[in-house]
Amino acid sequence: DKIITLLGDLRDEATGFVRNCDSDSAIIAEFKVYMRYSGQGWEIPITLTESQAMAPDVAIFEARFIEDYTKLFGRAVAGMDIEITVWSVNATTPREAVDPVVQTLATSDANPSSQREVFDPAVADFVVANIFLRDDMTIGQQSAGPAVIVETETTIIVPSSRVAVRQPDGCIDIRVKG
Amino acid sequence: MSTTSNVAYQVMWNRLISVVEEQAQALVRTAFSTSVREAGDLSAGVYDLEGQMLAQAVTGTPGHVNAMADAVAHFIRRIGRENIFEGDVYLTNDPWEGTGHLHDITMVTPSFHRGALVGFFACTAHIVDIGGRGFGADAASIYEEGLYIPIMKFASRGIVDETLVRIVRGNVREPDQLVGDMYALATCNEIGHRRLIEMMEEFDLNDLNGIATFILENSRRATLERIAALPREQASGEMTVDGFAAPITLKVKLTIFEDRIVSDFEGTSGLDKKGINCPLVYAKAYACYALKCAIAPEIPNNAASLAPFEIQAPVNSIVNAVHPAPVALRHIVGHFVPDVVYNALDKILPGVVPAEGAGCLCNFQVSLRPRTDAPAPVDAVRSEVLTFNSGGSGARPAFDGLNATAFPSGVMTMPIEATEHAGPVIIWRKELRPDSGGAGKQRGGLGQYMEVGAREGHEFDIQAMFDRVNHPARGRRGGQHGAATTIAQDDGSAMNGKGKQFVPHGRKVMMAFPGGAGYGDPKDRAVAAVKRDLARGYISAKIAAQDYGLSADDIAVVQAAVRRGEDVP
Repeated sequence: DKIITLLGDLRDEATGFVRNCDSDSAIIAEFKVYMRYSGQGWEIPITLTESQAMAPDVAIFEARFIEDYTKLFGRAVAGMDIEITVWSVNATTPREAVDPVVQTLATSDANPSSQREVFDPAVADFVVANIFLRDDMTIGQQSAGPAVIVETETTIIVPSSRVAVRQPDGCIDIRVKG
Repeated sequence: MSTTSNVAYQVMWNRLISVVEEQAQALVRTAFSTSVREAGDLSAGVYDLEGQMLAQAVTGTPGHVNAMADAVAHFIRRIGRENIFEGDVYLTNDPWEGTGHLHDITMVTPSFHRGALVGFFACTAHIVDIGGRGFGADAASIYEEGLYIPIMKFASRGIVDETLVRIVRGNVREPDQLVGDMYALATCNEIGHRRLIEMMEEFDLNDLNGIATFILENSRRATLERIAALPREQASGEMTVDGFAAPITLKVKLTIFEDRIVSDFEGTSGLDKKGINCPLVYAKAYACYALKCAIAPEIPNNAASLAPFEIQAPVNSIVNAVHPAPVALRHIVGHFVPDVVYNALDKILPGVVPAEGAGCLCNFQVSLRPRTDAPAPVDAVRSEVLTFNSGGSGARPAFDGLNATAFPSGVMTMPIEATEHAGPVIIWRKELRPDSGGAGKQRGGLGQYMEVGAREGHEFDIQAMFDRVNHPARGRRGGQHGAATTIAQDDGSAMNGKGKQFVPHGRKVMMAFPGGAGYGDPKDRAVAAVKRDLARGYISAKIAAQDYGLSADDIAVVQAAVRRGEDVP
């Protein structure tokens, strides 16, 4: 009963806060308890369904913990007490659906700005790669590997086996050639 | 991919180092004792089929990892290759085939890939209790120091040996912590194995032979290049420390050959009657570590990069204790080995090594129990609490020593909150100890004050494991000595630096841990650095004037700035 009250209170407080920000969307509550063997210094998070959380059963909590512990660490520790150190409820509105972008196929070759050598692990050797400026690539332009696509923040290395195509949303789509 | 390129091998090598680091973190996450989960007193590594270490986790201590580097070969020999099966896990706490005392458990797990044995994972952790007289120097032989677990199977084809677990449970003071840690060690190897197999799948490897050869050959070549560049000289070093019954003198003769460096401990004191003796494997671990830090620090640790560092010591000298000598506190002597080696190396390579430091960790264990002098409250309990603490490290040629930081051990200091959570103990004070760092052009690191007592209704025995009470760290090249260790009860009654001592209800133990020594003449220290030390409280006004020659005016200006909460001008 204490657990139901605690988790219920946490849920009401969290959903109440979210409701402040959005007055009519549905609100999802996610229940997590952090569990460990008594005496350990670290917990692992165990996700519970609302029905598991609202009808707490020691056997289910233990079974969920041992299941996740075994998955993470290989084997359960026989004969040890298990404890819960943190109870948490996370309330959110559902994620909004996004409009999918239509995949664009290559329509033309991008113009390389220069060339340099890059190491291609699959070929196990250095290869001469075209260098492309990412900002100059327009929608549908492709750069075939070996290629280097550069921008101020980062660099994309396209191996010999791959081809890269600029998409309408600005992403670079890299696929196996052919 | 027909032949694997060096670049691919280098990528795999880095990956292996990540694999063993994750292995170590799994141990920290699942361990029960504070020595492992808070202080990181552990090691983890991956080995080839011959038992040669290929990579080790950065998390961990050199005493463990360099000793464990030799352990896996013992496991292969003792278990026998024909008895190694998938799902097996082996363990031991043998001081001579593991890591130097019964209080470390080493676990080894064979790693199988596509049905064939491809290598081994090993890990070591310090455990809080193994029975016997408890963790301390008081035993007269190994038989009194606790339960001995020969190299054997903890799990056979995936099934844990329940007989072993029952024997362990029945022989130790904190059975849940110990058995929990044994499972954590097995988990640690399991995580390493999983990640290794993922890596082998990704790179389409059937075995580790190619990568093992690459790692070992390159490490050997790089280490030998460093050694070949050194002057072929010989030098001696020595240092005397408190010991238990009588002071111990450690002596080393360092000889640099074209392809190896030999540390010969001829002339070192013989065995102590009590458990501060050090098996050769542990002394070797620290001698190697010291030399490697000075000569080839960035070459990853593995069998080949450790091999050129050789050690010799007379049988039953204190750095080569053999069965059945008591060895529980072998770390005390082991942790001093680097300072001795550096005293010799400084004569060959000036300007490289630090001044002497606190050396051994300032550990103590308290055994708490309900008070016996008066009726104890019903909630009083028995409990074992082990803490790791550090004095100051020695000043380096170009930098000050580190305050309250473990060198050479490298374990972390335990937070007092974690310590107090482990049992009914109260840490009343834990703070840096001003003026304890030896004065010098570079100042020695500060030691620390600690005061410990029990919660209401408890009394306790404290197992002291301190040195440098009578032999503080010595300065180098004009630097001054660090401050010595002190220990006493709060009513002033004297206590010893080592051994189990009773503390009655309501009393506290007042400790001051040693500082590191200074490097170079204090008169050459930059005035700005002296002012900063004064402003931060690292040194008193008296020392600023007396050792560093700071003028009364300067001192007044610094003190005024501190009072105003401003930076030092």
